[in-house]
Amino acid sequence: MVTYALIPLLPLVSFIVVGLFQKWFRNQAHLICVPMVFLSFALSLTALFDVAQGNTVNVDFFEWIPVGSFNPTFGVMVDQLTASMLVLVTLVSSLVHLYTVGYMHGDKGYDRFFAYISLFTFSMLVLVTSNNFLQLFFGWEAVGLCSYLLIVHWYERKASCNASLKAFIQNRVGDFGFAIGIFLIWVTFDSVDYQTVFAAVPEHLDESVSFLGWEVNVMTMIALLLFVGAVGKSAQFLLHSWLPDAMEGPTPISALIHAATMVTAGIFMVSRCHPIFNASEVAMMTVAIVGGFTALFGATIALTQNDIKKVVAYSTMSQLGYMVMACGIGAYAAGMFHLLTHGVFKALLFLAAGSVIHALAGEQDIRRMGQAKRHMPTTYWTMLWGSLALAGIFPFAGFFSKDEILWQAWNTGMMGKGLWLVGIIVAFMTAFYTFRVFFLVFYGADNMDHEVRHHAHESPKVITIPLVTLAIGSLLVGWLGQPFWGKNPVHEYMSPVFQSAVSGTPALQAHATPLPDLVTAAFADDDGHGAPAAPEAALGAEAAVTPDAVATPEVAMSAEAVVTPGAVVTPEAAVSAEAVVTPEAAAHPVAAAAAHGEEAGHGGHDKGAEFALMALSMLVAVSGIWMAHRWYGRPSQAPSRLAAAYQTLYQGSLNKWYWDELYDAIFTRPTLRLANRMWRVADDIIIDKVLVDGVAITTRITGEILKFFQTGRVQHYAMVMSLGIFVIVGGFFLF
Amino acid sequence: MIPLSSYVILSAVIFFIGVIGVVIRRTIIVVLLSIELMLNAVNINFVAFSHYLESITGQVFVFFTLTVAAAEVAVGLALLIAIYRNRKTVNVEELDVMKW
Repeated sequence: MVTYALIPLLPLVSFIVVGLFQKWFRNQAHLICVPMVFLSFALSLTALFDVAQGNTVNVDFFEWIPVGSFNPTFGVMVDQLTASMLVLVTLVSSLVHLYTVGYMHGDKGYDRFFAYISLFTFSMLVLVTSNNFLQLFFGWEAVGLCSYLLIVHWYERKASCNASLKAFIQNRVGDFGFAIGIFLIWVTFDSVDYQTVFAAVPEHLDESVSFLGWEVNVMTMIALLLFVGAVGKSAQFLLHSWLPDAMEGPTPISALIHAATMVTAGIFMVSRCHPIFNASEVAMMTVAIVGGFTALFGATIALTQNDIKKVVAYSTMSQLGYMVMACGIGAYAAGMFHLLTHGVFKALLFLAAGSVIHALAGEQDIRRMGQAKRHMPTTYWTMLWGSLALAGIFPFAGFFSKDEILWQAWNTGMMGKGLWLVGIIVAFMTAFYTFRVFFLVFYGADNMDHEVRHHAHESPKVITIPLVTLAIGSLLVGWLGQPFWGKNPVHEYMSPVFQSAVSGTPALQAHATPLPDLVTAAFADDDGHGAPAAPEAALGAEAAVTPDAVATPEVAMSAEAVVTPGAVVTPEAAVSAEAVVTPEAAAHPVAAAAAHGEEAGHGGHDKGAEFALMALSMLVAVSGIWMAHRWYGRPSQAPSRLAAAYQTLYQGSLNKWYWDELYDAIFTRPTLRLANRMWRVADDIIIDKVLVDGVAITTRITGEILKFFQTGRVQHYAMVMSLGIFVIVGGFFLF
Repeated sequence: MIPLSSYVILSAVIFFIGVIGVVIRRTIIVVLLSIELMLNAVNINFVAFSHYLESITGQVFVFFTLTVAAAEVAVGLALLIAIYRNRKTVNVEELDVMKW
């Protein structure tokens, strides 16, 4: 137990020591920070092994802010979910610490940087080890703060300042919803402790709360408000635009905070609160749709970006969408699995991208790179492995986790099929844009500046060691969730969390009615409908899946539609893909639905259908890579021709679908105008002129008049005093 | 037996004479004398009530008052002399520099 408390405390110690005595370290801060975080990693590993043997821990250390009946505690909870996050966070953090030693070498904020990443590690560990909502919120806000501090590391740069403000403010919007969600939890459950709250969920299923005049089911309301927080933190659609801008920060930060850990806090939180989400269909549907849309949205933008870090950032957003989508369909274990694998290979991609940038003297534009393979072989190989993992190629990590999500989606009714379709389109785009970057950087035409090429070099050992470690990780970590033999180990491992007594049944899986009915039903309910977690609903799921699955032509259509994006340019590939896969894919859902009946959750895997879908998604990914190779592996006119042909789409994607401009017009500029108005009118005129100056003038005029009473003659004063006494004493006698 | 009210009235009369003296006389010496009058009016009250209430406290207090008054006079006269040396006047109305 004490060792568990040490996991977050060690980075805190290094933050305090380095933060307070920064001046003394003279660029040697890593001497403290790196060992501390590695120690923390070692402790996390022991925690993981402990938990794997079933020894979960939930202790309160002290009463934190006792106010009346509100008695939040500060504690540690380490269960399967937390342990896996602990290992991911400390692993990536350790490697990023090591990498930073090389990457930030000679930076004048070197020690400050180390202090802040230690603080970040501490905050993130508090977030994941929390056993109540308030402590979760504390960690949640602290990681946001660290994100801000680290994005603005190079504070002389205007772009960094803007990006950090944007990240901070957009996160505040999400956190506002999150905070209200926690308030509502407190109001509803009289507690913020996880276990108490989750255990009490069934008692509050039918309660409703008034929101802007509507009566909304309280579970739906809580889940949606919490999800607003997740949307902000995990850069989901509508609060997404801060994440790409956050790439203004140093690359180690992009890898640690904006790819592997902080941005996954939203998914972690949704998984942690799954009993609440499971209780609300509306919320689950919102989560699934927002996730799916974000996945698609991010991928479409990533296709055309030219900044190497921006591409990786948008792919992060897209992959986060995947995870959120998985949570939305109730496949929390799959979502968490993808979170873990993604954390490893995306950190790798960012660090590799950083290595490229480092080697090319700060160049980030992939149009000005090329043929870097011969300069930096280690970076080349590690980035290749990372890209393969992201694209979802067997046997790399992304393959297992992504296909797990797709498979779960496929098994979740009508809507799941739709999300599956989205997922597989995104998988194609992911493979394409990932390898677009890869080919442009390492193959293609050599577009480097002469000067840059001359100095291009492989990065030092402190940079390549983390790369190699993560590359090996991104090859191996996927096998933790291998679906081939026996039960899926990740599901086995996570099942105490997601199938515990308090979990309930994921709303969409238990209640897979066709989409329109679900919408109307969910919004019409006031009495009793909000409790979908009944076991017999699983039968409904079967019934709902079957007709859809029998409709073979429709499935065939969808399989065809999947490959269509490719068909625009490579018709022959599309045709062959369709021809090979369609019969198989069409044949199996029936069997899948039949096997699906006995368990709504993760039980009824039909291996045949699963492998068919895997083959399909592999094929999609490979065709994406092949297309990227055709276009970018060697000099080609095809991309620019296509861009010219579809000018609107190209410009839209290149300009992030103008979302920044939209927010600028709706929020930023009116706010600035209002602020300007407030400055000129409220501040300058009302406060400065009327209030401050007004008080001064009034005082002076009063003084000018009253000064004549101060004659300087003692006798006058004595006279007034005695008269005063007469009046007072006289008054006393008279009344 | 002279009733208590006589002493109180006497004391009040002396006190008022003192107040009026402080307020209207021009010479500092007379102002100081008037202050002494007021103090002694209070002393009369103390002694009268001490006798009336059969408590020695009031009379003890009078000794304190006398002592303090003596000290006060010493300080007051010293100040007076200092003022006179500086300003060549003891007229209160001319001593009005402590104003705006």
